[in-house]
Amino acid sequence: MLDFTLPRYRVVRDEDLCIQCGVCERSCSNKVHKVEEDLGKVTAAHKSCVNCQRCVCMCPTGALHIENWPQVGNGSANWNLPALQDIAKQSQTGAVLLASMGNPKPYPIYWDHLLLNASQVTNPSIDPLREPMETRVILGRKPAKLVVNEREQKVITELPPQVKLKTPIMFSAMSFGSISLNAQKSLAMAARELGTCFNTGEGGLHRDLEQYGENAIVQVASGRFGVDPHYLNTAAMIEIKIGQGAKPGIGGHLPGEKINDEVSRTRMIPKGTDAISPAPHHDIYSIEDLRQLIFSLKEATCYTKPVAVKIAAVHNVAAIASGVASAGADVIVVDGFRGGTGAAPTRIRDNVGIPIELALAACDQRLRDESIRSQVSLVAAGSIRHSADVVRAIALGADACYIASSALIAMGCHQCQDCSSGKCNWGLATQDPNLTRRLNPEIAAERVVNMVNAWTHEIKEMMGGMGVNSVDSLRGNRLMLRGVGLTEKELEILGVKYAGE
Amino acid sequence: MAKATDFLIIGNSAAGITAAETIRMLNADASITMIANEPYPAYGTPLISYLIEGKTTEEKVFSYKDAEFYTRNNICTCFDYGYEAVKLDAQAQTVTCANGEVFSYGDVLVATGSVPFVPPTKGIENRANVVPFITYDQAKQAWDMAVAATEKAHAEGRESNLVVIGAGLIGLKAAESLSHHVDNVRVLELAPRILPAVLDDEGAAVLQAQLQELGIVCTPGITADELCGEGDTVTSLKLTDGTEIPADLVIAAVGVRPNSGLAVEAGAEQGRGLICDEHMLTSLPHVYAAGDVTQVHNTLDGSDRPLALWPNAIRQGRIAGMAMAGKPFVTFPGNFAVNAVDFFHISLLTAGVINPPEGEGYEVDILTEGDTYAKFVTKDGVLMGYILLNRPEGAGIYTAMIEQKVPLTSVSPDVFESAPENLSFGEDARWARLHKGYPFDMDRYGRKERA
Amino acid sequence: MKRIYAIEKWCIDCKRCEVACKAFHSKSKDPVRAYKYEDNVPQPRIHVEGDLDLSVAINCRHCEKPLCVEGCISGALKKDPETGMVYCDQNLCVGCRTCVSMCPFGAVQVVEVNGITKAYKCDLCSDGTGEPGCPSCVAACPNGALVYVESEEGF
Repeated sequence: MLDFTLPRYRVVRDEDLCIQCGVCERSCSNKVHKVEEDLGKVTAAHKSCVNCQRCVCMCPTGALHIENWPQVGNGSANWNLPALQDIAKQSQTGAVLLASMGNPKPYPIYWDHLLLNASQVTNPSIDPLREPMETRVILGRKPAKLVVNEREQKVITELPPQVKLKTPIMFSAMSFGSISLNAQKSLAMAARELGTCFNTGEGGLHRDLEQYGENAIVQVASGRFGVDPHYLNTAAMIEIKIGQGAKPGIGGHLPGEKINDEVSRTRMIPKGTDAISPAPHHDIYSIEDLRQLIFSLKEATCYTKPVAVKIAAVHNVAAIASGVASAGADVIVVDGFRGGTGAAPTRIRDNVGIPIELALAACDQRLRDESIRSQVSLVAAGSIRHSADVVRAIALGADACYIASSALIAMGCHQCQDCSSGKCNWGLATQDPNLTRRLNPEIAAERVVNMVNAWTHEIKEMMGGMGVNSVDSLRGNRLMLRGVGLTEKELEILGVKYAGE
Repeated sequence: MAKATDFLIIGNSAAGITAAETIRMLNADASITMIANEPYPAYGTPLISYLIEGKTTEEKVFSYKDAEFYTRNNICTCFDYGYEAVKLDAQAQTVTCANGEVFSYGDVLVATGSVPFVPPTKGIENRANVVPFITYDQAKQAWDMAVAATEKAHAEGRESNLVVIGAGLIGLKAAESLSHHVDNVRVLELAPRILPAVLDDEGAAVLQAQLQELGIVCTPGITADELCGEGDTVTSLKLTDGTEIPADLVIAAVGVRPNSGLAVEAGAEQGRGLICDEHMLTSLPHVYAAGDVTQVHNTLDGSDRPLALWPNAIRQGRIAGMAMAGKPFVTFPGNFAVNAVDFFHISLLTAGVINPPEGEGYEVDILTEGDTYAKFVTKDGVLMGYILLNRPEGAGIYTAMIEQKVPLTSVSPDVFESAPENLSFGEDARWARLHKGYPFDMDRYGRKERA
Repeated sequence: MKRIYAIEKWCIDCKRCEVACKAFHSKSKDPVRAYKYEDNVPQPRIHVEGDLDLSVAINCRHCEKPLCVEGCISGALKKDPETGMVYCDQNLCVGCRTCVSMCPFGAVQVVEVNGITKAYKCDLCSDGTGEPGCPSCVAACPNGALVYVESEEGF
């Protein structure tokens, strides 16, 4: 039947600049460009373009750019063109719409309504280039009381297992399978150099990455892929994934064609079979069940590793976080609804969950109210775009942040939202060896390190401006935030005052 | 009174000049004298045809080495017609020149090259318009005569005729270059095909047809029976097929032979050229030889014969130079022929064994397409030789396969189908080939290995 | 000497190196002009073998004992005794292709441009003084598939 869908993008080639070298043609896995030697020009199959901008970046003469397909809608804000196109797609295929990366809809971004404080006259600001500025954070349960033998300068209290980070920025879960081994390796290398952690996601830990175990957070999710005692004991921390911000309430599905030899070995599943992560853990139907899993994992690792639990930011997130804390988790990860994903049903991605800013503030407040905040660390995830977002998250109560999209962007991702096709031209979200080869981990890791170092530097500057000299002093310090353009209710949940107050 | 020199080099072409340069590199102080019977700095003899075609100039021909080469290397040069070496006394260690000058030497290198072989054809002797085509002077002479003959012929209202006797490399290059200056070119060849030494029958036929289209008429199997004409001028040739053709200019390019008389008269052993050991020392003490004058052991078929090729002369010259300087680090294991020649837009590259004898286990693979002709000769699973007519791309890779006896099982099976690639080799072999001198502390991913 | 090495594990067959090389060796040093407007069509001195599955960029290895120099009848191909660079003085080259028959890597191309046949090979983006420059192919490679590093001596 005739397919009524329109191209999304238009490839625009400046004929004055195009030298017909064919770099674009060889760079595009979607086969958009074609050097037509008989015509003496390069043509484009616009409909196949996903706007990943690989060709735009690779073109030696800068002859390319991508535009939106110029077709206009009827002017209706309701029946706009994307809404029509979605229906056209579904009426053609009868299928659930799939999407990737984070929620693109114009929901309020509360980060952008929170302004940071700076010191003037009293409580002077600190110059981080001249004075020490501590960005180190420690994740895990904190003892209620610390007994120190001052003479021998030794801590007598037995400390629970913890993870030390040199910067409050970690790389959130992206499994080998959803991203390429080179991409995961780049993150592992960057994490080691930065003194932070990367997260294996629910894909197991490839044997080549076991050397980065001290910087690895290994995930145990509903599919239990790749989990064995060796996996658990190699890591710095274990994370139980209950939910994901991009698709709360549903599981995951890695199609069989992406399960190649290496993915199969690492996930410990047969090659070519679909890897289906169920929506729930089939052994967890209560906080008590969760407690059992937490302690099974602690038992398996002789109580040497902190155990984190990752939940999606949903309506009752604060109460859930409280339950998770009492279940024995050492770290709670709250993943907001703008968090990315390799593949999610579009309607879920775009409509389920709540913003991380509100969820984080609510969780921190609830845990404090219940006087259990020191028993757990809080990690905020779900679209942290820059260092100011990190600072805001910490001021709202986070111990650290997870970043994923930002790290991918540092490695080349252009947020084309076509991860699920497996044809990622940047070698990130693909297992095609001809595409994964495009990501040299030496180069990618360096770029990620550069980005995080820059952010850390900016965090120091912002903290210095506030007159704060450590992340620990900023944590939960909501007086450092002021709201603009927010309602009373929003301010109340965020626990911040309005600008000028 | 003899002029004394530590090292005397007779000949100022590839072998001689490379030997001189090598000696100077290894010994800064010794005296080096070069003598040659041409009043020019070193030049690539094959360039003479390019000069006539206008693809190079006189100045460029003599720029094989830069202008300061001899003075910078402190080489005493005696380059003139009078410095033709006429007598070598290995006992007294002296060389006498035609002009009477005598040089006494510590070591001498005979790098006198080859001289044209003049066939015993009736009427070929003492003819002013019969010239060989090896040296610069000969080429200039042939060029001038071709231009003059054409002017004269046109004045007489007829076309000018060049006849080349011999369709070897020299003969055909002469024909190609002089064809720009005469009306008709006819190339005679005794053998049943053109380029008998570097082509096979089939390839020769292809090339012959292509040359014919470009106005070079070759008639292999037919040669001159008698050169006719009054006095010292040939005006026509009677051919072996009974016909008679007019001629204004005749190039005698039947072949060359090693110019070894000087050393042989002094008592040096000669086979099909001067016999040398692996350091290029002849049978006479302190007498070395290199280049076209020597006989070369063919590393492919085991035969011994002269190998009148520029790169071989360079290689032998370097080895002789090292031995003469007392630093014989490298030996000469023999060599095999690699020929590169072009006619107009036609390119022909050949190497190694191209006409394998029957029944010795050789296998032949021939590929033709359009105006290309490619032939590959293999034996015992290694490449032994090739002919590449109009398919030059990557030919050196084949040459390397012959030289290094690369097992064909280790290269991709389609290596002969089209231009060879480095990717035709296995991953490890390819890495080894392309990464000589690669830093020890870097891995195959280009990463510095961390200590 | 510093040499360019190809790391085929990272070569993605984009051929940006070829474009950069061609542009550098053009009159204008600009790819658009080099490809579209210059009469004397510049030639790349690096070529990528293979396809998307496996590819590797090949250019001159600047051999210790370069066979192309040994075979060159015109003296056009030279090895600089100081820098080790093997380069072609195109002024002297007559296009006989001896170098093509000698180079074990297929790294010398003899090409006819506007009726004049000459050898083209990597000169490490030299400015003509014999001193190597900053190889444009290495700079153009997006993936670390070409490295320009000090090589080991005496291999």
